[in-house]
Amino acid sequence: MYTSEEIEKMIKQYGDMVYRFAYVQVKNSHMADDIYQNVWLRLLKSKEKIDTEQHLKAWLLRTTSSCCKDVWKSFWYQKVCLQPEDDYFEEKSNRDSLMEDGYVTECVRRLPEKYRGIVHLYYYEGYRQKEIAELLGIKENTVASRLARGREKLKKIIESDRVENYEY
Amino acid sequence: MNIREEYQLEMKKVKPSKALNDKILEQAVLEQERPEKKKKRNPVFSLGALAAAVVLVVMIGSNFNNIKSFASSFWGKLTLTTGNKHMELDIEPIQIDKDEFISQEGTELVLGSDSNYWNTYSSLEECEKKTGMKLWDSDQLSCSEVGVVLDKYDRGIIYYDCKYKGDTYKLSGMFATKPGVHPGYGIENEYYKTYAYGNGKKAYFIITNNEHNKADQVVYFTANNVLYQLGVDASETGTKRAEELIDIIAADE
Repeated sequence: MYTSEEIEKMIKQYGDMVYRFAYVQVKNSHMADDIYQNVWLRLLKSKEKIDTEQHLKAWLLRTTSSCCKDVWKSFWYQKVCLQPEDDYFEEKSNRDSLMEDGYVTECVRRLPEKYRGIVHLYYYEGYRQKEIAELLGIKENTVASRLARGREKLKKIIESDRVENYEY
Repeated sequence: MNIREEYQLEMKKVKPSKALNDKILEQAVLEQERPEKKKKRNPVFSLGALAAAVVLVVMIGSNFNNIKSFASSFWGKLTLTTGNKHMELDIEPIQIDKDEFISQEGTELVLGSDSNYWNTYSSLEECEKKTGMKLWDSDQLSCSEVGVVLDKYDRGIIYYDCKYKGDTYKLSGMFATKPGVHPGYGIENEYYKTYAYGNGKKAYFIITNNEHNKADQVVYFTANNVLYQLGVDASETGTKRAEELIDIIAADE
């Protein structure tokens, strides 16, 4: 089991990475907060320590991805989330407003669920397809097709807003 | 402009709050201070204690949703519990080929205690085609992305957003994938109104508070052997919209 000092050190090192990965995949900062907390609690409660930094990073990203997919549970097992999807763009919470998402971030969050995480890992974390596949435990072919479709969709979203001159 | 550079610059502003990190560290300190339980319990005692706890919780009518959900399944009834009222649900299992679902492109195993398999489809039609589920078909509603989750207890969840009259509504449905599995569910609040639809079915309207502490309402209804949960505003318009959506989604009932 990890000590509080070890957790603090890991939060300092990887906290932003975990939060950003959660934030881009869900609809608002409240959900991102819940997921972020769940990821660290899972680590806190794990009985064995993760041996290397690389494995720890992969574990954190994969667990965040799993927690994001478990969001459906909030419908049935936690408080009911009634925030309609499109409201995200109209009524941001105070936290969201403070963060003032940039345009590209908003566009990534408008992508269908299964593309967001992969596009984020590619554009923000700079991972290659093979690395993303290993990190998330999915097939490389799946990552390749999702990344291609995700980038294509991102381009369409940006073009539909009549924003030009982006290099993809 | 390079999209990667711009995205990276924007993302640097996204950070967890200090209060959130403090909360986690507080929990870490508590966990560290908690004495480790090493005493081995007698398995017979543990089982007896578990059974007694379940009976006790059912008898005192606990409001804890998970326990109620379990209780509904435990007694072998397809029930929805709201407050102290129990309604039997007229739904049958939807038999999905789980092995086929797992082998589909894009199906992922979600890490966690329930071993959930998860996939998403671009439309209801694609979902029907890939899972064999029978859903609804209407020109009045548009539905973007459909998520399906199957767990190790032979239960399924389907969730999607619907666009109707310019607004987006979230729907989440629960179903069984094998005979003998009962997706019962309970919520502490009592329903304040019902709506009759289809062939003698009823939808139940419950007032609740959302994450912003504002009153909202949740509506429970069944359609195509799925127990649905739909969130709408706690207003006359919200209620009317819910009724219209139920009529569309459960048109074949």
